[in-house]
Amino acid sequence: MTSIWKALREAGRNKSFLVGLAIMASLIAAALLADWISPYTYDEMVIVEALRPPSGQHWLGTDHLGRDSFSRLIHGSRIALKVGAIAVTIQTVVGVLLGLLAGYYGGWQDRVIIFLTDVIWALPPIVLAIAICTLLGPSLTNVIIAIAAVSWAQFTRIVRSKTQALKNMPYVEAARAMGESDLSIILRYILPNVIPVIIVLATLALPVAVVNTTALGFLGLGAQPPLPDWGVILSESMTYIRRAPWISIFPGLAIIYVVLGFNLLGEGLRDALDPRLKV
Amino acid sequence: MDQTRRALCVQHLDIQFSTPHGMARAVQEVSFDIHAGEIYALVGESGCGKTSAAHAVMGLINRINAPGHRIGGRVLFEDKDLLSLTEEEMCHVRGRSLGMIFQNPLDALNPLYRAGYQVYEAIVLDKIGKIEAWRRVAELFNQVKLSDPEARMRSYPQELSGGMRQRVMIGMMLARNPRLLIADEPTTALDVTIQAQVLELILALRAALEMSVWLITHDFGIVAEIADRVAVMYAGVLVEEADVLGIFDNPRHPYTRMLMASLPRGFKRDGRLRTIAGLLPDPTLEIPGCRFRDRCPAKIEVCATQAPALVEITPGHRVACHVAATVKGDLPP
Amino acid sequence: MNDLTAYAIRRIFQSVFIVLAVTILLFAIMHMMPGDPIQLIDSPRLDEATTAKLRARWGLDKPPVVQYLYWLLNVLKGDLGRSITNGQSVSVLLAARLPATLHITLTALLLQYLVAVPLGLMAGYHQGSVFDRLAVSVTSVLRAIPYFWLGILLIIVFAVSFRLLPVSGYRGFQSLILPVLTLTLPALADTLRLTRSEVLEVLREKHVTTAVAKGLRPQMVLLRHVLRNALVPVTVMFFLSVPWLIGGSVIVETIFAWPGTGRLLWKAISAQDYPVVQGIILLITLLTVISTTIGDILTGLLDPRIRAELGGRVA
Ligand SMILES: Nc1ncnc2c1ncn2[C@@H]1O[C@H](COP(=O)(O)OP(=O)(O)OP(=O)(O)O)[C@@H](O)[C@H]1O
Ligand SMILES: [Mg+2]
Repeated sequence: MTSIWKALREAGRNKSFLVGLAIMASLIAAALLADWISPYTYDEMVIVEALRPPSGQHWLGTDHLGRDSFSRLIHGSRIALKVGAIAVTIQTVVGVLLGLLAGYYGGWQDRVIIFLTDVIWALPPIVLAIAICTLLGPSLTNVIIAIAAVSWAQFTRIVRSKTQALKNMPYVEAARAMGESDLSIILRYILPNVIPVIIVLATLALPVAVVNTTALGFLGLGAQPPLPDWGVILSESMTYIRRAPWISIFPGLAIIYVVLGFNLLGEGLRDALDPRLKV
Repeated sequence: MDQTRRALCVQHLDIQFSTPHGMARAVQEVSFDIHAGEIYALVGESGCGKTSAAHAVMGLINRINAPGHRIGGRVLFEDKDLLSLTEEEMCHVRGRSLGMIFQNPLDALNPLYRAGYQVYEAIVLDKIGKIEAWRRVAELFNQVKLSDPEARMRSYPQELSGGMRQRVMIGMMLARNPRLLIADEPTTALDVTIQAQVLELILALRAALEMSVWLITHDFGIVAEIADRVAVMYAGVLVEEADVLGIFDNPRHPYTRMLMASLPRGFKRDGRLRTIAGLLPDPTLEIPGCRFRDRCPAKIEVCATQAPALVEITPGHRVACHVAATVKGDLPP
Repeated sequence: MNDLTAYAIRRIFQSVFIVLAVTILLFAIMHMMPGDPIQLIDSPRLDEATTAKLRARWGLDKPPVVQYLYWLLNVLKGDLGRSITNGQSVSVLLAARLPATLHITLTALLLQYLVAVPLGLMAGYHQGSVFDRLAVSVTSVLRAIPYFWLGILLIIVFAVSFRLLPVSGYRGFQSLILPVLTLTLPALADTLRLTRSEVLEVLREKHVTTAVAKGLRPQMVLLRHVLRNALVPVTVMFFLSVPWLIGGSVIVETIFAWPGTGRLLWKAISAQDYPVVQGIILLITLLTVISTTIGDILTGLLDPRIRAELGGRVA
C-alpha cells in the first residue's frame, strides 16, 4: 500500500492529474452543496418566465416550464455523480471478484466467466443497457443495474490476466506450499497488487457511467421528469432547439466537464500506477 | 593493404543528448581514422558512447529517437562530410557504401516481414530486376552460411535464432557491397559458439569484399583475435589508440591497463571486460581536467585542472594522459 | 491446415456459441414477459378453443426448452415473428430498415479509418509540431463529447443557426452529413489517437533504425515499416469499435429521425413491441459478433507473431 501512496505523490506532480483532481473536487462540491449554490429549486415553475435566455436573474436562462436552468444543472450533478458512483462500485466489486476467481482458479470457472464476458460483449453496451432498462422499467435504480451489468466485464478481463501473472510468482507459490488458504493468498498477495489497476479502471469507468446515465435519461429510459437529470433536460430541450438552444448547450458542457475531469484524473493515475496498462 | 588510404575520417565528433537533467555529452571531441581494408576496434565499457558515435556516423540519430540532440565535428567518407549531408543524400550512402549491423539482432528485424523480403528490400534500391534481386538474396543467404537458405528466406525473424538473425542482418548490410561495415557488438547477444562463427564470417567477408570494418566491442578477446588497430574510449573521449600489438604489449593509459588487468588470463573467448571499481562520471556535468581522474590510481595534480590531449607518443600510438609518459611497468596497487 | 485456419475455425465456432447464448438469453427474457404471442393478438374473435388450438399449433403448450427450439428453428429460417403493433413480419421490417442504418454506419466507419489513419500518422511522425498539438487537443475534446449531445450541437450550429443542412429525415446526401458526422467524430478521434500512439511506439523500435540503415528513404520507412506495423492494432480496434458505432447509431437515428433499425428499436421500445425489440437485438448481436470475429482473425492475418501464438494455442 505504501507504493500506492508513493505513486499518488508522484501523480501529484502531474499537471493533468491535478486539473482532473480539481474538476472532481468542484463536482463533488456542487453535488453536495447544490441546495445552497443554486438560486432556485430544480422544480420551481414560473410559466410566464419560460424559455428566457441567460440573464442576471437566470444565469443560464429558463426552460419551457420557466424553471431555472442553472439550478437544474447543479442539481443534475448530484444525480450524475450518485448514479455513476454506485454503478461503478457495483461493477468494480462484481468484475474484480469474477476476475480473481477466473484468474486464480482457472479451469472451468475461468471458462464459464470468460464465456460470460464474451456474451456481454456480443452486444454494444448502450444497446444492452437499453434492453435491460426496457425490461425492468424506467427508474434510476434500474439505470444503475443496467450500467453495472454492461460494464463489469472489462474489470474481470484485466484483473484476471493480472491474477494469472501473480499466481505464478515465487512468493505466492511459496505461500501455497506453506499451506496458506486460497482466500488468504488472494487477500494478502494478489488483491493488494491488483488494487492500483482497479483504481485506474474505476476512475476511467465513472465518466462512461455518467454518459450512459444521461443517454438513458435522454431516451426516456432512466430518470423521469421532473428530475433534473442532464439527459432528461436534453431530451426536453429538443423541442425548443430553435427558440431556446441554450437549454441544450449547458447540460452537454456539464457532461464534457465530468468526462474530461475524470479522464485526466484516470490517465494521471494510470501513468503513476501502471503506465503499461492499456485502457 | 594500402595503409595510407583512409576509409573513414572522424574529426572532433561531439554528441550531446537532451535529458531531463540537462544536456548530456555522450561523445566529446573524438577524432580517429579508419584505414582502407583494416579492422578498427573501438573498445570501452558500457555507456561510454561507442554506439552513439557509430549512429552519428550513420546519420541514425534523429529528432525522433533523440529529440533535442546536438552533433558537432566532421565525418569524412568518400570525400564527403556525412554530417553535412541532407537526409536525401544520406540515403544514397547508407546501405550502399556504409553498412551497419546492430548490437542486438533480436529486435533489429521487422517482425511482420519475412527475412528474405527484408534483404530484398535493400537490394532493389539499386534498380535491379525482381528476379535478379531474389536470386541475389538467395546468394547472400548462402554467403552468410545460413543453412537451408530457401527456407530461411521465407521465415519470419521470430522464427530464427539470434545467430541466424545476425547472419540475416550481415547479409542485408553486405547486400550492396559497402566500403565500410560498422559492426556494433555483433556477437554480444549471441551464444559463445555462435560468436566465433559470426566473427569468422565477418573476417572472411572482409577479405572477399575488400572492405574496412569498424568493430565496436567490449570484448578484448575479440580485439586480440581480429582487430588491426584499437582505440579505447572512456566516458565519451578517446584515451588511447594503437595497433593491436602496441595495445597489448605496451598499454599506456591507466584505464587501458586496468582493463587489461581485469581480463582473465589468456584472453578467453568470453573475455568480457570485468567491471573495474568506480562509475562513469555523470555525462550532464562539465568536468574540468581528466575525466578518468576519480578512478585513476596514478593521478597527479594537473589531472584535476587540465584535460589531457590525445598525443602521439610513438608512431601510431596515441594516448591522452598526463602521466602516460612516466608510468612504466606495473601500475601502483 | 495452417495455424491461422485452425484458429479461424475455432474462433467462428466460439462466435456461434456466443450468439446461441444470446438467443437463449433473449428467449428467456421474452418468456418472462407477461402474456404470450397469442394473448397479445388480443382479438375478440379468439375464443378459448381457438386459442388452445393456436397454442398447440405454435407449440406454446410445450415445455420452454421445446418452445425455444421451435423459436430458434424459425429464427434460422428467417422468421422472427410479427410486430405486435402492426402485425408486419419482423424480418420484413428489419430488411426494410437495415439499409438506412448500414448507410450511415458504413459511411461513418469508412470516414473514421480514411481520415484518422493518415492524420494520426502525421501527428505521430511530427510529434510536438503545431499540427500534432492541434490534433491532440481537438481529439481530447471530441473524445469527451457525448455523441448524443454532439448531434444536438451539430443541429444547432448547422441546421438551426445557419440553416445549411436538413435537421432530420432521410433525403439524399445532405441529410446524411449530420448523422454521419455525429457518429464518426468521436470514433475518428479515438482512431487518430490510437494511430498516433502506435506510430510513436513503432518509431522507437529498433527495426525502424535498421530500415533506415539499409538505405530506405524516409517515406518508405514510414509506410512500409512504421505504418504497416502500427496498422495491426489500429485495424483490430477498428473492427472492435463496430459495437460502439452500432450503439451510437441507435441514439443518432433517434435524434435525427433517421429511418433505420436504431430508430425502429426506439419506437418498438416505446410501444412495447417485444418481437421487434427481440429481432433488432438479435440483428445487432449478429453484426457485433461478426465484426469482432473478423477483427480477431484479422490480427492473426496481419501479424505473423500472433498467428504463431494462436496456432500454438490450438495445437
Ligand atoms: N537517444 C538518447 N537520448 C539520450 N541519451 C542517450 C541516447 N542514446 C544514448 N544516450 C546516452 O549516451 C551515453 C552513451 O550511450 P551509448 O549507447 O553510445 O553507449 P555504448 O558505449 O554503446 O554502451 P553499450 O556498451 O552499453 O552499448 C549513455 O549515457 C546513454 O545513456
Ligand atoms: Mg552500444
